[in-house]
Order: sequence, then C-alpha cells, then structure tokens
Amino acid sequence: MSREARVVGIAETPFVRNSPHSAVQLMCQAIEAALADAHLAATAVEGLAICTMTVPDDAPFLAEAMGFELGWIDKCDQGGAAAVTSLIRAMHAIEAGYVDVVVCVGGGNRDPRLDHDSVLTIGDYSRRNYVAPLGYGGPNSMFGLIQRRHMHEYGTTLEQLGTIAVTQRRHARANPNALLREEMGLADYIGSRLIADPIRLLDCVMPCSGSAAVVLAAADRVAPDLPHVPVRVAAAAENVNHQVRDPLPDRLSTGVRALAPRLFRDVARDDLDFVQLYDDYPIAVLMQLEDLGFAEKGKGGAFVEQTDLAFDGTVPLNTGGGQLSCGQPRSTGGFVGVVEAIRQLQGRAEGRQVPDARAGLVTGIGHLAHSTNLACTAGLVLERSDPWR
Amino acid sequence: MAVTRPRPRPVPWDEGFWERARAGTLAVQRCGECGAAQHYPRPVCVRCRSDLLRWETAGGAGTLHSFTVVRVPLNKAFADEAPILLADVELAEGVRVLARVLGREPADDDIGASVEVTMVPVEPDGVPLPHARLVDGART
Repeated sequence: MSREARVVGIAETPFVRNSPHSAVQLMCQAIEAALADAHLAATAVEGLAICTMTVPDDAPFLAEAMGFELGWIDKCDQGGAAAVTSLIRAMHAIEAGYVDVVVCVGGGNRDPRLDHDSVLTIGDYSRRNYVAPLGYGGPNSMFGLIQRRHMHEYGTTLEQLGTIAVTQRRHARANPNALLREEMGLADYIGSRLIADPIRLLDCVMPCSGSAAVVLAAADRVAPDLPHVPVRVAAAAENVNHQVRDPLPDRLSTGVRALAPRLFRDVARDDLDFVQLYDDYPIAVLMQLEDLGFAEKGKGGAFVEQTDLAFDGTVPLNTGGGQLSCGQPRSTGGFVGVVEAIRQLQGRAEGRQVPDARAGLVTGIGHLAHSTNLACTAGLVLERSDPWR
Repeated sequence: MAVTRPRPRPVPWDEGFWERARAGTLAVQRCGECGAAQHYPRPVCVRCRSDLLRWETAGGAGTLHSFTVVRVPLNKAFADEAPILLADVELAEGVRVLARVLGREPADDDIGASVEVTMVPVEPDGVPLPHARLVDGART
C-alpha cells in the first residue's frame, strides 16, 4: 500500500484585491507555505503540476524560475477544473511509482501586468471567431444565457439562486481568508446591479490576486511528525466536451452528469459529509447539484429551498464561502474548494467545521464552449486517511 | 492603452464560412456522409468524423433559445455599444448560433418565439456577423 498517495500539505496566500507580487511570486509563496504545512523540505519535491491556461513560458521554465529540478512536471490547462485535475495527475504519478512528492499550484494577479495567464489573447478559435467579435461579456454573458434558459424551462427563481450565495456568505464570515465578509441577505443579492441579465453583480465571482498549493506524497513518505491527518483520494473522475456530437446540446446539462456514477462508486452520495462545488456563479452550483443527483434535472431550485446547506446542515455546501465570497485569483479559483475540503477533513476549519467530517466531494468546472456550457468538469471524493497514513 | 475589437481570424477549415459571410450569407456545415449539420465550423464532422463537409446556406429562420443583455462587455472596445443584446438561436437547419439582437428587445416570454437571422456588417472592418430579429406575431 506504500504506493498510495496522500494529501499532506495545503496553503493559501492571503487573497487580496491588489498585490504588488506577480502570479509567479505568489505561487512561490504558496509552495513554501504548503511544504511547511506538510513538514517536507523543498528538496524533497520531485514533481510539480502548475495550473495555468495560457502560459507564455512553459511549465519547465516556471519551475526553473522557482528553483526546482524535477522528475515529473505537468501543466494543467482545464481552467476552473485545473486544481482538481492537477491533484488527479499528481496522484497517478505517485501511485505509478514515478515520483514520491508532488506540489500542485495555481496563482494569479488581477492586474494583467502582474499576471501570467493574461499575456496571450484567446487561443480557442470558436470563441475568438464566433463569440468574442459580437461583444460578449465573457463568462458573465455565457452564464446569462444559461441561467435565463434554466429559469424559463424549470421556473428556477432568483430567491432560490440567492439562497446559495447567501449561505456561502455566512460561511465566509468564519473564513479569515475570504475577501467578502460583510453580511449579505437575499434582498442584497436580488437588488445588486445587472451585469448580463439575468446575471447580477452578486452572481459573479470577484477577480482577485493570490495563490494556493497542495502537497501530495507517497504514503511511506508522509512526514512522521505531521500534526494533522493525511487525506486520501477515494474516487476521481473527469469529463471533457460533454455532448460534443449533438448539434443542439442541452445548455442546462453538464459533464458532471458523467462524473457522478464514477465518483460515488465507493463512497455513496448520501455518505458525503460536505460538498465543495465550483462556484463561479450560483447557477453553476445549482446545475451541478442536479447533475450529481442531489435533485432531478430542473428541481435544483426546490432542492436548495428545502435543504439546509449550512456547514452544520444536511448538505454542507462551500463551507469556506466558496469563490463567490473568497474571491477568484484567476486559475487558482479551483483550489478554493480543494483546500477547504482538505481543511474540513483535517478538522482545521475553525468556526465553520463540519462535525466529524470524514468524506467530502470537490468539483472543478472549466472553459465555456460556444453552444453548450462547460468544456471540462472534474471531481474528487476525498476522505480522512484513518488509521493515520 | 488602445483597445481593439476582437475580429474573426479565419482558420483553414472556416475560410468558407467567412467568404460567404462577406457575401452576406450565413452558412452552416453539412456532412456529406451522415447528413448532420454543425456550427461552429470544425475540421471534421463531429458526429461521424468525415471530412466531406460542404457549406449550406442557412435560410435564416430560427427560434429564440435564450438571450442576455451584456451591460459590461469583456473587451472594453465595445463599451460604447453597451448594453449589447445577445441571442442564442436555434436555426431550422438544426444548429445553434450566437447572434446579436436587432430591433425589439426580447422579454422572458419571447423564448421559443420565431426569429430571422441575417448577416450584418460590423465595424471596424465590416465583416458581417449573425444578427437576430424577432418575427412578431409568429411563435413555434
């Protein structure tokens, strides 16, 4: 069993609106902090998975700038799904016996001059030729189309969607690294200004600056003095280009549908102690709840209305506030849920700790396609590794 | 810092779309083997993987699948045009096309209503892009 991988360290830099540090500097800070959390030295690192979409420098050059000689490297370019896919790839590299210690990292700066991803223009030709020239609003308007259709087809209401945002904000108030911590009610959500109707300001993640890193190690390389319980991967699944062969794909169905049976093979959905669902918009969370089977398609609105989504409720959702309240440091966004999931399993989520959290789900979604919704979806079921290791 | 509007930059397999666009027609790809239609253009038929694709002139008739009002365009060069109305249109040919909206602004209960899609030149270079107009009185 020594080739099983364990998650042993996590770190987030402070999430701030503006940082004088470049994305790469922020990534270095998160890596140092995550290694300290793992009780491992930087010289132990053999693999690096960097989550970024459009690097002007390739991953090896970034690793060189950071001072790593490695036995394995990967660039994860699945957008919002990249944090989850980086952990999956790191786990596979360790379990294959290829390397013993891997760091997964993402980082971004809201200021394009200090960011790494923003240097290049849109690479994807379908958005470049068939979406952007119309003057679209980025993900805001793509989700505007999706949410309008969901409201029309299934009668989903702003009150139902707002419940997600408001619950998460309550969680954020107990998370010192969340950027948005002032009280927020349903009326604030509904009354916020329109950005891409029916998407409102409080539907949208706030871009910010920061980085996060996660350290994985082979089970026999876990530091003997590690002060918190290691975490193992119980199930992992990815989907790319859901419904690609359908000329009229269902805009309201996501690749998460394909993940569900693979994710819940060992740990059943009902046995999850929490869910950290990628939340660039409340409507994205609602569709994932449907596609994971928490509710039938179209009944996600009724589900959030009737379910206590608080950290001490029946289906604890985005217990650190999610990206909607923490902020989205570009490609690091997917790490918000990953890091929070690990914190919960290690009993380190002070003020919002899910009682006796033993297993939880984290998802990532990324890239918006011309006529469907998400190109990439990925999920991980994580659980405490008891007994120790 | 000067911002410029993103313009279509044809790739080898969608040159035919833009040639026809410049002539004012909206084209969809039709597979010569399995008969499937697709939009946006691809190098192969995504259904059967054939590369025997031909251009078919779309009639322009469609229905409104969804719409949004872009109040904050991603590219600041569009700021003077905001709000920009975008529609997700299902063409009679069986594909979905993203278009700007001309004429009356759709309301929630216009979803499912008939629209007419035409190609209208857009600044700065006048390359025509899809535009949808509600056909009032008709509903499918």
